Amino acid sequence: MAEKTMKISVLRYRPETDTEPHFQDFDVPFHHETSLLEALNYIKDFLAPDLSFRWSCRMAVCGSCGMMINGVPGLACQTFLRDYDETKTLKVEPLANFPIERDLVVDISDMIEKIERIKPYIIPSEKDAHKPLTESYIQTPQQMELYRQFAMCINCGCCYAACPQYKINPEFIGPAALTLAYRYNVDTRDAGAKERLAHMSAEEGVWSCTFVGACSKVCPKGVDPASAIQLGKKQSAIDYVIKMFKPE
Amino acid sequence: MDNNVKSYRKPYNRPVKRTWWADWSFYVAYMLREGTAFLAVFVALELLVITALPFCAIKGADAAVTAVLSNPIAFILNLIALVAAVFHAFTWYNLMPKAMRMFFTKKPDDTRLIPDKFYVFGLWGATAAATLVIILVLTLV
Repeated sequence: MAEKTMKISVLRYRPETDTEPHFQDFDVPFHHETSLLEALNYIKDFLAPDLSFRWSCRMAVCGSCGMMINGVPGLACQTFLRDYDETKTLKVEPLANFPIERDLVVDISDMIEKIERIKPYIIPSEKDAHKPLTESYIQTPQQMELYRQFAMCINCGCCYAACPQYKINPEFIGPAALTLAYRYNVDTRDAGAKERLAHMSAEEGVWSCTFVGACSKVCPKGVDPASAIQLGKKQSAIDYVIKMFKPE
Repeated sequence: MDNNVKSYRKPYNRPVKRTWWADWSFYVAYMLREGTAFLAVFVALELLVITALPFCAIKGADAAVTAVLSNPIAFILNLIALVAAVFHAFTWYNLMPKAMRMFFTKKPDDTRLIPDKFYVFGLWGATAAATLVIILVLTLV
């Protein structure tokens, strides 16, 4: 198959020398199967060996290669050059809303801290706290379906890069973390909803979401964070009403 | 003893442009959806004036308001407000299924969720019914 060429404009930032990021253009040959990740590797191998970007699995599992592609967050490994107009320049930038560490590498510590904050693990009830390891929890397919979709998150950060609320108010706990909060709250093995609801109902919790829906639009795993946050609002509201009649 | 090894990190935070939403059609649609609120305020003020009128003892106020409302500009504004309200309803009704997640049956092994279409059609049905009732009441009064 005849190779075509696409101009790829990459936002570069080298902290030792640059005061601010700038674009650098590369002409990259591509065919029908060339992914953006392969194109970046071509740039690194033949045109700019000092180009930094994160990647690992090449198959949308590790969540390392999230970046802005023509202004929209996505995984480089899941993006194919054939889907873009070769007569136009493809603009590649580091994930928006995160500090740029170097070239396409961003610092996602803030997202990680927020994910940690909502306790994304099963907190057993008092009854189950000392369950022997030889005993298992029984869960029906329906009980699993309650959270399965929301458990597919790979922490790529695309939803944070897409979220205008996070852009304007970085205190916002954000899509991925709030999704995980909901995911564990509806898990029948979990009894930690009370601890998570304190964060979900806070100013920076679910109510800071204005239902833009961009997180779900860009999620490479079809997790639908916007749905989890709206369902989280329901949990938060019910919790509020219960507390009105039954204060702690 | 402190061991403050020099760091060469210099993370760069990009400034937020006022026009951040103009770069992606999805954000533009969102801003349009939220922007319909301005027209909703216009209609709310209009309704407030109309409902408050019978209680006002200002001479000729009734005629003045009727004159303003029958002005072609007011008519066009109301028409745009109606289109905006329908557009807002359309976008919200499409989002509504995200806030609903219910199973078809209570059977433990049935993982089928009620499809999105069900909620969207239900909402449009409710809107049509409410519109009919309002038109009926207005024609009867």
